[in-house]
Amino acid sequence: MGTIASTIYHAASEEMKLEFLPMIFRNEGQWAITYTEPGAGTDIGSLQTRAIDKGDYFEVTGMKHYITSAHFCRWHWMAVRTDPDAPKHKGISILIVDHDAPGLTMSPMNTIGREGTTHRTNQVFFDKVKVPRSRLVGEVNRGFYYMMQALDYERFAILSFASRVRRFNKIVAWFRDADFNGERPLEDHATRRALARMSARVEVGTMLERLAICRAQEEVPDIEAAMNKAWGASIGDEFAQLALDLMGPFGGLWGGEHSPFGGALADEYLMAGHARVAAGGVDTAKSIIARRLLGLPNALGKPELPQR
Amino acid sequence: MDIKLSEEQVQLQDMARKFMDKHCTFDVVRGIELESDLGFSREMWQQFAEMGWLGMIVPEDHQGMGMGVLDLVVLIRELGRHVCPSPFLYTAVLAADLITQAGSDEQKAQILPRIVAGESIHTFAYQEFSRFFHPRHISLAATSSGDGYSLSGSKLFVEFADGADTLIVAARTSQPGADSGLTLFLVDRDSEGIVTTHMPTMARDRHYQVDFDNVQVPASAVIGEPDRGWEALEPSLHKAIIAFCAYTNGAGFEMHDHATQYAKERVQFGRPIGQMQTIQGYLAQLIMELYGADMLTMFTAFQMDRERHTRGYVAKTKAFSAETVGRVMDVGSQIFGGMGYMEEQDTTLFLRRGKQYQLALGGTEYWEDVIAEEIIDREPVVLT
Repeated sequence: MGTIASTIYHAASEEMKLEFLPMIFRNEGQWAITYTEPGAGTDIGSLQTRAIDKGDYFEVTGMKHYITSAHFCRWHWMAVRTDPDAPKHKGISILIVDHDAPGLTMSPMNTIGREGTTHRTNQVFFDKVKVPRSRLVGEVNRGFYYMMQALDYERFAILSFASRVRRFNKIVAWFRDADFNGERPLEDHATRRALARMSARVEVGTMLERLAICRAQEEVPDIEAAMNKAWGASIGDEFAQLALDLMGPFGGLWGGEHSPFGGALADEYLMAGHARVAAGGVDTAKSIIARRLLGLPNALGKPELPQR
Repeated sequence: MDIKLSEEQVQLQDMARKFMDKHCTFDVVRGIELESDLGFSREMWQQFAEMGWLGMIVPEDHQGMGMGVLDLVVLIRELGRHVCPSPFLYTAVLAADLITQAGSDEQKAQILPRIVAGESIHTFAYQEFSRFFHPRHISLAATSSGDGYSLSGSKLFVEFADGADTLIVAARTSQPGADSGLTLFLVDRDSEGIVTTHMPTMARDRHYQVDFDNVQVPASAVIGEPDRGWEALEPSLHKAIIAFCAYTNGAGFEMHDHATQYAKERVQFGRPIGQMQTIQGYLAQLIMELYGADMLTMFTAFQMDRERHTRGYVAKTKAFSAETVGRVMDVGSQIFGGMGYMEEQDTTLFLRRGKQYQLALGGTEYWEDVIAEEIIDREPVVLT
């Protein structure tokens, strides 16, 4: 919704809106966001996957990785290079690519995680894949602009803070009942204060999300989304760490009788890193705040972005 | 900031900003720090009264404006931007609300219009010789004496005690060592048996030790019911806390503006230091925390105006805002390099206050205890 539907809604042709928006609203057909390449991560404008304009179709050749939904997606929302001679940000377009198209193959990349849980992302290869011209989103070579705008929404959509709050409340509830041979953690002042401090920081996350939602009613919440992203991801990490610390040696258990939440806390700790890097890292989010809200110059000496 | 304020609130903010820019410059603040025994400007206090600010939350029946805590937050944030020293918090928030909520009809009729007119300045005599803020640490004795009470003991950190007309004193009438069993008194500052001693602080604000030696007060000086002082005080104190957080957030925003401006102007290695990612990271992190503190303050004020159960939110706001403002002042000063620690530099006004704000009106440990009571010992109240 955040990335694809909003970009189609704002930028695409009427035909494309009619074809895809109802499907998205009915939640039919999964999508993969297919941007990242080995040489183009945070610097996404450096992507190399080439789409050659063949008139009524584009011929796509290249390789993408960290494509998390590729193994169950129907469509790729994909960034490709359409003009290799233009400045790097001005030669990128967005295509919608059918996952079953001939020439498209993939292989799994396993992320850290317990056996039996699905922790997988993918490499996706494109060998002269034909993509009909009707699947070009908006204007050719305007892709970087669409991506950046959509990322402002994605930073905000990818981190629903409410789920973190629920998890935090579950941890507090767990401690309420916990009993280690008669030792009740919540009678311990240090444990109480650590959870209290964390709960204030979690509350701030809810507030920053509220701020982003307020802003999104009126315009692209770029700054608020970046704050939401940076704070939310850092807090996720902080509270996973805290929960493990408060459990003593039991926090690291991945299963068995004594594992709190059946090992889910250790999973949470490992996955906290994912939230910090998804949709641009925490540091990228801070750069956005520094440049667009505070008007500080780009670290590479590039002209400032327009300040709101 | 960014939740939608009403048109009236925007006007109030603009008016406050213009007034403070003109009348409460950093030179004025320094002058008060170094030359005033009162710790504030009486002239400015009268101007506050003329603009109606002292009656903002006083009911209209008593010559006030009958506005809410969110309105107060909008105003006080501007005072904070200028680190304006004034007994506003104790008089126009704590005393005004306490008397409105818990005072007798006679107290309301006598005191509230005088607060509104700027004729009666109140301060808060609460803290004693304890590291902690919990009411169980209060032991100043109030014993029956004739038709009234006799107060004996010492209060510490009573701000503006020499400039105030009235002290709101929390005294022990029963249950020593418990949070309950306190009684609140309105005590004339000039009563016989009161001695004040200045307690110098790094913020150069005006705190006093106030010693009470058999100070006689009439029964009509009790606010609310005897022995139920903390129960009456806590809700009003919470409004004052939210107002205080608005003030410290304002100070934090101002410091942040100065540090950001400096980062854009200060050139080293042939480029502005604000181009360095470490500096950008600091400034981005701090502004994000300030936005969070500010949102939390406004949200809690909004919910207070709807009379919701906000005890946990108040505690979270104070704990987080206080920690944030301390950090903003520290890291902000660091961005100035050596200049950040030079006396003539305006930002030192902020640096000297940041930590002090965190310690005031209950340090983090007190408010974290309150949070724990609200989220651990009972089912947390979630407001939307």
